[in-house]
Amino acid sequence: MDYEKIALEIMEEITDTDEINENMDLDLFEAGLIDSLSTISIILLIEEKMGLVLQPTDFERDDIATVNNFIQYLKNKNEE
Amino acid sequence: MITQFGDLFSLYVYFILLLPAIILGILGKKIKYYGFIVSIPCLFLIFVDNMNLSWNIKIYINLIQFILYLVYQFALIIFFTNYWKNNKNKYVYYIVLVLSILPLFLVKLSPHVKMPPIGFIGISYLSFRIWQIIIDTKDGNFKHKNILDIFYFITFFPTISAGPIDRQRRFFKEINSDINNIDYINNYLIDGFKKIVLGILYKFAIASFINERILENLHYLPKNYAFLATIIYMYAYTLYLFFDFAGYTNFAIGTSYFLGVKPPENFKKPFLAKNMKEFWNRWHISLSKWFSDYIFSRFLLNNLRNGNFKSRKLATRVAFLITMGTMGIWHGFELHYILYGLYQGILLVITDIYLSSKIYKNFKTKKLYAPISIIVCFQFIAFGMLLFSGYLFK
Repeated sequence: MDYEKIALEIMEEITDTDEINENMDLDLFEAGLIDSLSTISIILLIEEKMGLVLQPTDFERDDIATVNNFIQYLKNKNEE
Repeated sequence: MITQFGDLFSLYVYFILLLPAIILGILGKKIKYYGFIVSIPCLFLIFVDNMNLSWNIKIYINLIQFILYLVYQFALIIFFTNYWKNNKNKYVYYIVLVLSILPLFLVKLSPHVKMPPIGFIGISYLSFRIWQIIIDTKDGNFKHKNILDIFYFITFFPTISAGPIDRQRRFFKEINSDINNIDYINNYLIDGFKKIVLGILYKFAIASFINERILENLHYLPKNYAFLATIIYMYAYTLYLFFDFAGYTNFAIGTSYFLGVKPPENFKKPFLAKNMKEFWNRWHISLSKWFSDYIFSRFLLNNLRNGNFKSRKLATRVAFLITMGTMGIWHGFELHYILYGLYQGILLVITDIYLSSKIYKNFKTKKLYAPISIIVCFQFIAFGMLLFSGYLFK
């Protein structure tokens, strides 16, 4: 599975910008691009794209803070 | 008023009891075993504290209830964690959850029906830890097996009477990792002391001053000044509650630091919030985060998955009402708590509408946006606290 592609697609949709692939270590919370409520949209998009059913408590803040962290998270979660 | 760490003397006693933990930390040794042992006298102190040091039968009734409660909840946890390994029957999960909620429900109900008064200090906050374990087990996020650790997490005394509400995953990782002595001194011991000093200022200087000089003197105002008294009470109580609660929280976090545990922060300049959504990210943060993770988000997700609502906006707003309503009832079945919960829920709905409106988008760019928003928001906060205090229904 192409986790990078999925992660970028999800984050682009959530943040409404396609510039996030320019710096995949950018802290999305600090940049004001996502907030705590974004997790709900992220969960629904993961479900849609990967068929993985998650709960809000399956994330730590860091797991979705940057695109790179998110790629790693999706990889770990799917291969668990 | 929160009674744990209620005076300087009890703070001193905690400090003496925690000295060995501090020494272990300075030596770079593991603290959790000592922390576990010292829980026993400290928990005892909390129950005694609650009784104003009068050694009577009530202390034992409290202790017995506490022990019975723990045995009951542990039985549920052990049963459920074992059951869930091999079976995934959702109804069993719901029954276990209801059984786990039942004691707190009865405690909150007891003052309103013909029932002997029951309950002990900390039961509300213990419940959050226990429910978290049950829900996380269902999600497959609770894999910790060391029963001593679980016991330590549930009975962790510094934060037992009013939070902050800790999370099991972080807690277990923390108590089982090694903190080297330099890290301990700089990031736990010194920071812990700073918190406690700030707590003394908040609770014993500012909150006490507001309480003794303003709140307790309001009844001297003549009867025809009732409206003025209410206004004064509203603002004074709001400030009092913050300094009393934040003061307690600093003690709770500071003493946790001594034990090598860093609970989440609970306050982030709440009166600088520009709207009520922001307020709940700044006030009693660990509680709103708990409700957000375990009630709000789950309700919203389930309903969005099942397509129960036509629009996501509507689902979000219903979720706000349900979450805040639950938060109100969690405080107790008194009318003022229920109204407080509804008030907060309705405010969040209005905030949600406001934040997506054109008025807000225009206003946001104006020079006076921040100061005006902060002042207006504070009025809503203060009125909420007035409702919460029950003053209007006395």
